[in-house]
Amino acid sequence: MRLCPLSAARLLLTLQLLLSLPNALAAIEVRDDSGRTVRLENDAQRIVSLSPHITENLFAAGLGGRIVATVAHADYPKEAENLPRIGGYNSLNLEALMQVQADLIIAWGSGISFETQTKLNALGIPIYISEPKTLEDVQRNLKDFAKLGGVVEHDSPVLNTFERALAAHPRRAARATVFYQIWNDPIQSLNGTHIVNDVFSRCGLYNVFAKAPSVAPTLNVESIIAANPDLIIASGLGNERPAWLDRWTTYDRIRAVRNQALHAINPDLLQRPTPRILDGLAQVCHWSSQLHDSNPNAHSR
Amino acid sequence: MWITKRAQPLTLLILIALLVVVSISALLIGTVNIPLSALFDASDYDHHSARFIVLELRLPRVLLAGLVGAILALGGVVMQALFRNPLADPSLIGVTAGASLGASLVIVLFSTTGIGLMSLTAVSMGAFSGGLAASYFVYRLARRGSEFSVSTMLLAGIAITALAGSLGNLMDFFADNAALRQISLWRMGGLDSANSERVTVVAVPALLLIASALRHRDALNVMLLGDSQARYLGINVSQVRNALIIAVAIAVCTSVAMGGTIAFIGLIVPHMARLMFGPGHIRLIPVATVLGALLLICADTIARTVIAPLELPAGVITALLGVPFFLYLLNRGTSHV
Amino acid sequence: MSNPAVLSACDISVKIRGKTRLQPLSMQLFPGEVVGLMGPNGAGKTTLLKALTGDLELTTGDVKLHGKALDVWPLGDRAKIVSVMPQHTRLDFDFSVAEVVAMGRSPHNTGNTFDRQCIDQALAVCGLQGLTEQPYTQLSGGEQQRCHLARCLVQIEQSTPTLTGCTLFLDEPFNSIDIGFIDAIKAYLKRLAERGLSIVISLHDANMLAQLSDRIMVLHQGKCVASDAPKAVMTPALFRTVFGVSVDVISHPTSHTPWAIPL
Repeated sequence: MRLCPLSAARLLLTLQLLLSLPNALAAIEVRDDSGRTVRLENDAQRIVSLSPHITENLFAAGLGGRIVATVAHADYPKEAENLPRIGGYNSLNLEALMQVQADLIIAWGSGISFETQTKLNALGIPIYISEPKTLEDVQRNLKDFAKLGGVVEHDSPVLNTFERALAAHPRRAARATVFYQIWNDPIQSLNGTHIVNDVFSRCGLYNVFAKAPSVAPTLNVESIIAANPDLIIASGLGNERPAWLDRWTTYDRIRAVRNQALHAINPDLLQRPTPRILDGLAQVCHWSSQLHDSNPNAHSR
Repeated sequence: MWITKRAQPLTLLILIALLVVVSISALLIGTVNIPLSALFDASDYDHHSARFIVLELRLPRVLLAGLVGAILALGGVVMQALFRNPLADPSLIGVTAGASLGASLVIVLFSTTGIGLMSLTAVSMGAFSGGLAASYFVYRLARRGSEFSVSTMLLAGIAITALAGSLGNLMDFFADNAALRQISLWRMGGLDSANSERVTVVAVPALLLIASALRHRDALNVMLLGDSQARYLGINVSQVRNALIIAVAIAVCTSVAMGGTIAFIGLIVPHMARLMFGPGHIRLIPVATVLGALLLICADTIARTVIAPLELPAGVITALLGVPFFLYLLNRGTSHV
Repeated sequence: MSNPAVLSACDISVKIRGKTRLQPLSMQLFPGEVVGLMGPNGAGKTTLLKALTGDLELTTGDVKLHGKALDVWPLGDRAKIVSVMPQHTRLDFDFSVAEVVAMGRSPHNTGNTFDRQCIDQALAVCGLQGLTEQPYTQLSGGEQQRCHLARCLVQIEQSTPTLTGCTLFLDEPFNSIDIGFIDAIKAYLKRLAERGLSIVISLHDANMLAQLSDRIMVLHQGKCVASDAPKAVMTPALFRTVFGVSVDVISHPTSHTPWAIPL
C-alpha cells in the first residue's frame, strides 16, 4: 500500500489523537543530556534511534517495538538487527528519516555533527540528545525514555537492578591503578572523559591515562612500563581474549604482570552506556577485589 | 649548492657522525628515565629492565625509523631521477594507496589479526601485496610495448591512487564496527611495533635499494637528460628503470607494511640533499640515505617523547617539518622546480 | 675496397600511426664524410636522423653500423663511437656546466686526465670556459644549447688521433647560438672530419650547410629528392620546388661554396 506522505501523516495523527486522548492533555517534558527540554504532546509512538547504545536502551526501557529506524552497528539485542537502517557510521539519510514519520528522534551528541543537528532541528520533530558520562546518566536516560514513551517507570526490573548496582558500588578512593587497553598496534587507551572511568572509580581503580589530552591516546610500550599499572584490562574485538594481551607477560617489571592481573573484556560491556555496563562493572570490581585479596601490598596507592 | 665540492666529503662525514650521535641519544631518551649507571652497572637494581628497555624496545625502533627514513628518502631520489621531475615521490606510483587498500581488504575479508609468519601479520602482508600490485598496474599502464611514457606513468599513478582510495572507502562502508576500527587504526599504525624481526625484514630491501641505486648512479645522472639521450650515452634505459622501480616498490611497500605511511620524507629529503650537495647521484645517494634516516629518527624520537607518555604519529612531525620547506620550495618559483 | 662505409641504410622507411614520415631511401656514410640534411620544416630531417640512430622503429629496411645491424650493437659499445645531439634536450636539475659536459665521457673509460683534456677542449670550442661552475638551469637558451653540443663533442673524442669509424649526428645544433660562436664550432667540426669522423648534420640555414657538407641530401615531404655535392644540389630550381622561394645562387667570396640569396 502506498500512501501520499501527507495524507498518511494526517491519518496517523488522527489515529494517535483517538488512541491517546487521555494522555494528550498532559504534555511530557524531560531534560536531555545537552540540557535542553524535550517536550512531547503525546507518548512517542515512532522513535528514530541514531546510535547503537540508544537502540539498546530503548529496548531495555521496553520501547524496542516503537523504534521505526536506527543506524548501522545497532546489534543488541538480537531483535535490533532487523530494524530498518537510515544511516551508517558517518552518514545519515535525511530523506529516509523523513519517510519514517517519526515523532521522536534520539541522537547521540558525539555521534552527529553540528550541521546534521541543525538539519534535524529544521524537521520540527522533537530531538532528545543522549550523552551519558556516568552510570547515573545511563539510568536517567532509561527513565527519560520510559517517560517519553509513556510506559510506567516504577517497578521496571532494569531500573531496579540499576538502583541496586549503583548502591552496591559507590564511587570510592582509588586503591589501585588500571591500564585499559583498547588496541595494540598502535597501543591505545581511553582518557578520563570516557564512561569506563566511572566504572573504574566504583571499583576503586584509577585509570593511569585519565589525564591524557585526547579521548583515545596513542601510547607505546615504554609508557606502560613507566605508568606501571596494577591491572591491565584489554578490550579487543568481541568476546575473544585478544592475542596481544599476553604479550605483556614479557615485561615483568610491570606490576600487573607480576600480579597476574591481565584481563580481557568484551568492549560492549564497558564502552556502551547501556544496562550491560553493569555486567562490566561487576566483572571489573571482581578483578579489583581479587587484586586486593591475592596481594594486599600490590597497590600503588 | 650550499656546500663547496671540497667541503662535501667532510660534510658527509659530519652527517654520518650526527646520525650516530642522534641514534645513541634516541636510545637514551624515552618515557622511562634510564640513568647510564643502570645501563652499565650490573649491580644496579634496575639494570635488567634498563637494558631491556634500551635494547629490546628503543633499539629496534631507532633502527626501524632509520631504515624506513632511508628507504623513503632514497626512493624519492630514485623516483625523481626516473621521472625527471623534482616533485616526484615514491607514493606517486600508487604504493601508499595500494598498501592501505590491501590492508583494508585483509581486515574486512579475513578479519584476522594475529596469524602470519614471524611478526608479519596477515594485514601487513596484505599491505605489502596491495602496494606492489598498485605499483605494478601503474607501471604496466605507462608501458606500451617498448615505449615508456613518464607523463602517462604520473597520470596512471594519480588514477590508481584515486581508485585504490575510493575502493578503500567502499571497504570502510561494508566493514563492520570492529573491522572499521581496525582499518582506521592500521592507517595510524607506526613504528612502535618495531622488533628485531621487523627490522630484519625491512633491512633486506633497504640494502638492496641502496645497492642498486649505487650501482646505477651514473645511469641515473644521464637519464636526467631523457630516455633517448641516455640510450645514446650507452645506458640500457628500460633495464635500469625496471631494476630501480622494482627495488623502490619492494622497499617502499615493505616500509609501509612495517612502519605505516610517513609523509613528506620522500619529497623533502632529496631536495635538502640536492640543495647541499648538488644533483650528482654519486653524492646524492649516500647523503639522502643518511639524511632520511637522521630526519625520521629525530621525528620519531620527538613523536614519542614530546607529550610522553602519549605518542604522536611520526608522520605528523615529518609533515610539520616538511610542509613549510615544501612551500618555501614552491615559492622559489621556476628556478628550481 | 679501401674505404668501407661506416654506416649504411638500406631501403629504410618510417610510418608513424599510418602516416608516412619517411619514404624508402638508402644511403651510405663514409669516414671523414660530412652529410648535410636540407629541407623545409616537417620534411623528415629529424625523422631520418632518428631512423639512422635507432631512436625510431623502422617500418622497412635496416641500418648497419660497421656491417652489423644497429639493434644488435650493445648500447655501451655503440655509445663509444656514435654521438647524437637531438634538437631539444630538457634538463631540470642543477648540474654545473662542467658536470653536464662530463656526462659525455660516461661511456668511455679512458682515465681522468684524458677526459679532463677532452672536456676542457670542448668547453673552449663552445665558448663555455667562463661558465664551467654555472648551474645548467640558470643558463640562457643558447648557452644550454652550447653546453649539450660540447657534451656530444666530448663523447665522440677518442684517445687515438684518428676518428675513422666514429659518427656524429647533429640535429639543428646551432639553434639560438650566436653567430660569434658558430665559426669556431664549424672550424672544429671540419678538423674532426679531417681526422676521419663522419658527420650527419641538419641545419635550416642552407648556406651554412653548403659550407660544412661534402654532400647534401634534400628531403621534401618525407622523400629524398636530391643527394649530391653542394654545388650540384643548390640550384634556383630546387629552392623553388622544395621551399617555394625564388633565389639566386652565387659563389661565396672566400669559401667558394654556393650561396643562395633570396630575390
